[in-house]
Amino acid sequence: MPSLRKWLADPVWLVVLALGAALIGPSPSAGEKGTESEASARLIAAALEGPVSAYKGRMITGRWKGRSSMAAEEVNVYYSPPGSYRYEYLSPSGQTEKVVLLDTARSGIEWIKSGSGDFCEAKNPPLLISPERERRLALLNYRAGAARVDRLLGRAVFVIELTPRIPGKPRQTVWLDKRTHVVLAARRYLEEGGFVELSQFTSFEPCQRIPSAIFEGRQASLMDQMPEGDAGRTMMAEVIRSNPKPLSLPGGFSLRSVDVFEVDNSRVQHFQYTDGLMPLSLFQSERPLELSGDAITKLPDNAVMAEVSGGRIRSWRRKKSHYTLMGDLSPDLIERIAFLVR
Amino acid sequence: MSEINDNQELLSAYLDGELSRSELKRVNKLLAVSEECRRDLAALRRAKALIRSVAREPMPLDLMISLQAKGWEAQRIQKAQAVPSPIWYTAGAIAAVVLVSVWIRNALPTRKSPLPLGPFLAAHSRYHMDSSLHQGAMMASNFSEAIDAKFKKVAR
Repeated sequence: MPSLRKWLADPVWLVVLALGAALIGPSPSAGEKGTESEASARLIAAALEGPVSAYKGRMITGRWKGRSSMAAEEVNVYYSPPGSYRYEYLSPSGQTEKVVLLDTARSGIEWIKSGSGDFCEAKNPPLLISPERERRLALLNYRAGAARVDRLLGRAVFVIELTPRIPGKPRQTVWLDKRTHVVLAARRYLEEGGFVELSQFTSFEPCQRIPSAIFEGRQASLMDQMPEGDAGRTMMAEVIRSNPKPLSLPGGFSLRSVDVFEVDNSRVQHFQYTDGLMPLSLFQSERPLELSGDAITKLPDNAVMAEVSGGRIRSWRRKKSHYTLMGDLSPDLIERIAFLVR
Repeated sequence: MSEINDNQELLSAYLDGELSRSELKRVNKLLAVSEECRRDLAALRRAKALIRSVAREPMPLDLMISLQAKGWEAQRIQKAQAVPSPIWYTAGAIAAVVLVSVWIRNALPTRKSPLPLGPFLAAHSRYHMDSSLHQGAMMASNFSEAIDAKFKKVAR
């Protein structure tokens, strides 16, 4: 009987072993899938960076309020690289009712106009994280599925599913224009089923150039009180120093910015968190929040959970302050976040 | 005519006992020589007796109320036209301060009264819009109510 070494040295067995290894090893389809997912992630990254060419179009945006009604609006959108947007919100008669001008290249500057009034300059609070970090957060927190090719508005699009890596957050589907990388449609689905938000172009037209005048709000008459630059950062640092908050929260959220506003002569601090795609608000106030209606659940320690048009709310009191979390999160995840903030 | 009026006044004063000694001598002379003066005196005496008897009758109630009302109205007008003394200024100022304090205490929300949900939702929407727009309209949250909230904040 030939020895085992001889059997294995036989070229015939070598071929058999090679075939077996090929059969039980990683399949080509699996490797291809991973590559496709990476390609989708690159597409999403390109979309988040913003389009490289000018376009104009009309969009419908909508958000379900509860389970019985949806608020929807029509918006004319104009874009010119590297980051100038003009949004014209239309009235039911099709007239331009409100205008928002945004320059992402100069982060934090916006011009808004309502009715026939002049433009107002509105400064957003300074960002604590860079746009690059925010984009990385999105790719870290969401898994991009393999892109599916489809057609929308007569154009070739990639359809990509974005699934949260941490349960308890909505998944999203985006329809990405193959040529310009503009998001032609997006839907956000709640974890328990059903979509909660949508935006979709009803017309879309890439342009060589859009006149720069429509992106300018020269007739500004009012100024926001939010300090900009170093003064804004100093104010924000003061708020954070006097009310320390975690820089990151369960669910992959990072502190993005801090704003302050007043309600009924009472100061409210607004800590704004993001996971790269979805906002989460944490409010701190001296007085409690008035919550009423059927969709309220009372929790231990006088805490309250409620479902409102802005998402899910969890409100509680600690020492002399009242805290409110607001976002499209599952009860379990919002509970974990509240536990950490407490 | 003037003499007759003078005699009437003398006779009236005679009945009221208000004449001097010389005037009394003069009236007594007149009454002694003049029948007309005696008739005038009798008429005056009757008239005065009639007036006294009427004055003793009780005043009708409606007349009394009417007169009282006119009196109060006159008193009110008189007070309104009168210049208040400095002490009334001080008292009025103190009363006004007390009233305003009570009003403010009742009108303004107490420290622990609940805050309305609306501004919180608007702030969240605004943040939602800001973050979405910065991502190049990646998400569907461009609601004009968020713009309204932003506009109110700017205009404040």
